[in-house]
Amino acid sequence: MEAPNSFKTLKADLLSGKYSTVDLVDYYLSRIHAFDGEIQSILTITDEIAFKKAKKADALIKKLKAKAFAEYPLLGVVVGYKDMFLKDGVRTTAGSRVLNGYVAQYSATAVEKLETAGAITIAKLNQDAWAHGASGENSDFFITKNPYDKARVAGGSSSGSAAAVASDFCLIALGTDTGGSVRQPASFTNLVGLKPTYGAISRWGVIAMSSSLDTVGVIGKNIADVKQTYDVLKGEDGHDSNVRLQTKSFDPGKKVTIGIPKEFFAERLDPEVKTKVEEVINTYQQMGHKIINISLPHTKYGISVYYIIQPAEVSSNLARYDGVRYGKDRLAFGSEAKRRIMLGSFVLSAGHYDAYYLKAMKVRNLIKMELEKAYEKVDVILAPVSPTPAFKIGEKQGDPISMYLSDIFTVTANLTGTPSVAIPGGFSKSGLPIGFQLMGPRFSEDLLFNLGQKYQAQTDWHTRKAVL
Amino acid sequence: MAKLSEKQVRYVAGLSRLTLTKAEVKNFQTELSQIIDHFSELNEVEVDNVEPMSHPTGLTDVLADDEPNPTSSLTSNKALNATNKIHNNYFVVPQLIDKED
Amino acid sequence: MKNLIPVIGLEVHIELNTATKMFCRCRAYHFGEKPNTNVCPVCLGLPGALPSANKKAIWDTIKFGLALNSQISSFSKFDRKHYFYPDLPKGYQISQYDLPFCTKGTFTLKNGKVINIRRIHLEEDTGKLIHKTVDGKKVSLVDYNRSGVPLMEMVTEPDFTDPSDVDEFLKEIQLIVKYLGISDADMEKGSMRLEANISLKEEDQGLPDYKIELKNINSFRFLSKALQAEIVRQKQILETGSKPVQETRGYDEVKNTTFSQRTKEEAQDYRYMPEPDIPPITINEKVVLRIKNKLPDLPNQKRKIFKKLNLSEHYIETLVSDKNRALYFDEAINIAKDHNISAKEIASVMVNQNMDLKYPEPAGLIKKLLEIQKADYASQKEVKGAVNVVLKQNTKAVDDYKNGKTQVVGFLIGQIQKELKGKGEVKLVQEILRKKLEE
Repeated sequence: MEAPNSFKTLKADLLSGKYSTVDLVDYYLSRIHAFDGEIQSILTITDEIAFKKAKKADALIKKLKAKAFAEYPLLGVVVGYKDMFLKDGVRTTAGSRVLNGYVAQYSATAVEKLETAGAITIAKLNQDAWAHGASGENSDFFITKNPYDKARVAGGSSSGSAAAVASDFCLIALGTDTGGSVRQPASFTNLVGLKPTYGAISRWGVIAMSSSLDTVGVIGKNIADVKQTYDVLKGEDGHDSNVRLQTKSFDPGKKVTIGIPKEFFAERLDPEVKTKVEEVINTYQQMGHKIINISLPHTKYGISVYYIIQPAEVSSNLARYDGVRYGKDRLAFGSEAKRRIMLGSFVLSAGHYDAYYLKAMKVRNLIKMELEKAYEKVDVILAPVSPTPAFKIGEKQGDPISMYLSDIFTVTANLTGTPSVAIPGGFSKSGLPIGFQLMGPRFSEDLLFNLGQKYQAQTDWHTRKAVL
Repeated sequence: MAKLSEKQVRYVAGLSRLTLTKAEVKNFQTELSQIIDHFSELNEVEVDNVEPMSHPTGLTDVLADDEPNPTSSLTSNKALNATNKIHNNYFVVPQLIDKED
Repeated sequence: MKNLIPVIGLEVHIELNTATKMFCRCRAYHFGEKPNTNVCPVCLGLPGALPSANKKAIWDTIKFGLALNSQISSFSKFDRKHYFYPDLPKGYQISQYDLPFCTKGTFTLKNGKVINIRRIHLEEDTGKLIHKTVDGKKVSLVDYNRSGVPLMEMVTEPDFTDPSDVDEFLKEIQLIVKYLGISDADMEKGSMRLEANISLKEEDQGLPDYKIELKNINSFRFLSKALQAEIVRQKQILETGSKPVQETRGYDEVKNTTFSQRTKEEAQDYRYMPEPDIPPITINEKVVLRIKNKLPDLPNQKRKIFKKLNLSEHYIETLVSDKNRALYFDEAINIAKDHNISAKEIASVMVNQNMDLKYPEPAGLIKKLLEIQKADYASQKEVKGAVNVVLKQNTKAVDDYKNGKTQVVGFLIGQIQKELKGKGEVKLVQEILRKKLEE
C-alpha cells in the first residue's frame, strides 16, 4: 500500500475500495512505528480514537458512497495536530514539561471543525515548547529530525507537523504560525504551509503564545488540500472575538502583478535559496504575470518589533501556568520559555514600556501601513521563506539572536495580520527542500491558493517524497 | 543600553515569578542585554504621529450578549480533574497570608 | 503647627448583577454555590481559552457613569493587569488602564460640596480564597465561581475632608446603583467593597507626599470609624515631626484602631498591556444620549418628587433609602388618587407601621386603608339620628332650603358632622340629608 498524496487520490481510493479508512489508519500507524523512532515527530498517538473514527468513516462511505464526501468534505483525511491544539480527553503538552501529563478538558474549535468534517485524528505532534523556536530543538521532550536529512532540523516551531506529513504519518497537519512557525518548517520539508489572515480561523482551544500574532496554520502536500482544509477551518465560532471573515473576489484567470521586495533578497539570503526563488519568479513571469521590484524599508525592523511584542505577550500568556489548576509549577519552564518571559516582562515593566513595547507597537503600525501601500501597486508579494534551507541540529543553539534572525522573512505577515503561503520551490544541491512564500493582503487566501496551484501545475517539486 | 544589573534581572524574575539559579541570573544579564541592544535599531525609526497597533484586525465592538450558555461550563468533575491538589471541591494552594478564617 | 486637614480618596468596587460573567457565559450569580461548579475554560484560566466581552456589563457601567455625570469615552479598550495571586487564574486581570469607560464624574454632597470622580472602569472579579488548616498544613482553598464576574471600579479624587461625608457619599452610591438596577451592592455579600486612602495636610498646602490605604473593611460604619481612628493616629505622628509610613492598614473593630497589614509596600508594576483578544470598543454618543434619557429616577429625583407631596424629611428619607419602598409608594399614591387617601397617610402607614410589608401589592394596601376608613365611619343609623337632631334644631335653615336657598346644605352638613364628631362619611351624610329635606 502507498499513502495517498492528496485528498483527491484519497477520495478516489476509498471509493474504489483500493483500501478502507481502517486500512489507511493501520498503514499510517505502521509507518509511525517503523520510522518515528528516528524522526521523533509525535508526542501522543491517538490510535484508539483514529480506529473508532475510521470505522465510522468506512460505514458512511459504504452507505452514502460519493455523497458521503459531499457531506463530510474531509472524510478519511488523517490529521495530526501540533501539541498546541487541545483535544478533549487527550494529553496536550505544548511541547513543555509544564504540561506533561495534562489531559485537555475541552477541544479547540479547529479540532472540532476538522472532526465534524470527517477528519481522523491520529496523533499530537512535537514542537518547540510553547512554540518558542524555529528549529524544534526547544521541545522539552526530543528533537524532531528532518525527513530529508536526519542530521538537520525539521524547522519550527511546528516541527512535528511538518515532519509527520513529510514522513507520511498523516495526510495533513495543523500547526500554529506566530512568526513563521508553519511556513518555515513546511519549506524545510517540501510541503505547503498556510499562515492565514489573522482573524480568519478561531484560536479557541489553541494554547496561546502571542495573542496578536498567533494563527492556526495548515501543513499539507499540495495547495488544493491546504485550501480545502482552510475552507473547513475558517469562520466565526463565538469564542475568538478577532475572527470576522471577509470575502475578496478575484478573477481566477487574471494575470497579476507580483512584487519582489528587495529587502528580502539582501545579504543574509543563502545563494542557493536566492537562485531557487529567482527561478520561481521566472516561472511566474513565463506564465505571463507581471513582476515588479518593490521596497519595504521598514520590514528590516520586523525582527526587533517581533521580539518585543511577542515575548511581551508570551510573558502574559504564560502567567496562567502556576500549577494550581493543572500542570506543573513554574520551575518546570525550559530555558527558552524563561528567556522570553524575562524579556517580555522587562519590556512591559515600569520605565521601559514606552521605549520598547509602545515603540514596537508604533513601528508595527508603520510596517502594516507600508505593506498596505505596497498592495495598492501589487496583487501579491513573492519572497523566500527562510534565509537558508534546514540547518544542522545544534548549529544555532546557544545563539538566540542568530536563531531569532531566521524569522526575518516570515514575521512581516504576522505583524501585519496578512496571509502567506509557503510553497515548495525546489531543492538545494545537497537535496534540501527550498520554499518560497506568496504573501497577499488580508483575506486574499483564495488568490494565493490560485497562484500557488498554477505554480504547482507547472512544477513537480511537491510530488517528491523524502526517503526515510 | 548598558548591561542589565543582577538586581534588574532579579526584579524582572520576581515580576515573572521565576526562580533563577545564580548561573541563570548571570547568563540573563548578558543575553537579555544583547537582545535589548539589538532593539536599539528602533531608535532610527521616526514614529511621531503614528498610532500604536495593538490589534491587527481593525475590528471594533465585538461583544457578546448577556445570555448564559450552560453548555460552555465545565462539569465540576472536569474542572477539578487536572490536578490532585483538591479538598472538598476546592483547589488547594500553600497559604500566602498567615491567617485563619 | 497649622490646622491639619484630612485628605481622603475612595476606591469602590461594585459587582454587576448581569446574567453572565464578564468574559464568558457562565452564570454571574455565585453566592452559596458548591465551589468550582460555575466555571468554564475562560474563568478557570485553562490553556487556549479566549474572552468575549459582555455587552450589557459595558452599558451598565456607562449607566453608572451617567448617573454620576461622567464623561463617556467614545473609544475604549480592555487591558491586561499582571500580578500573581492564587485567586487570579490567568496571572492577569482583564481590566482597563488608560481608557476607562467613564471619567470626570461629579457627586454633590448635601452640604453642597462637590466630590470629583476620577474614573469608573470595568474589570473581572477574582476567585475566592479561604484560609484553613488541612491535614495539619496551613493552606488556602480556592473557589473560582466568582472568577470573571463583572466588577466596576470607581475611583474618586482625594476630595473628602470628613469621614461623615464619606459615609454619606457611599450610602448614596449604593442607593444609586440599586436604583439603576445594576447591582445589589450588598456589603455583606461582598458585591460592594470599599478602600480608602487617607493622609493629613496642613491648611493651604498641596497634597501630602504619603498616603495610607485602608483595606478589607466591610461596612460603611467601620470605614467611617477607621478613618476617624486614622486621623487621630496620623495627627499624633505628624505632631511629633515624623511622617506616617506609607502602607496598607486594616481596621480592628474591637480595639477601634487601624493596624498595619503589610510592613513593606511592594512597588506595584502591573505591566499593563492592551488585551489583544478583545477588539477595542467604540461608544456612540447618540446611543449614550438615548441611554441617559432612559435612566430610571435616581434617589435625588425621587426626593424632589416626594418633597412636592409635602412629606416630611423623615418620611422622604425612609422611603427613598429603599428603592423597592420608593417604587411601592409611587404606585400606591397613584392608585390612591381615585380615593380619599392622601400621600401623607400612605407614607405614614408605611414608615410608622411598615404596612407595606404586610401587603406586598400597593393595591392591597390601598384596599386595606379604605376598609379602615369605612370601619371608622358612623353607621347609617347614627347618621340618620344625627340628621334628625340637626334638622330639628335648625328649622329656620330647613325653611330656607325649601324656599330655594340650597346653599344652607353646607351649613347643615357641618352641623351633622359636628354631631357625629367628624365620623360621617361625606357621601352618606349628603344622601340622607337630601332625602330628609326632600320629604
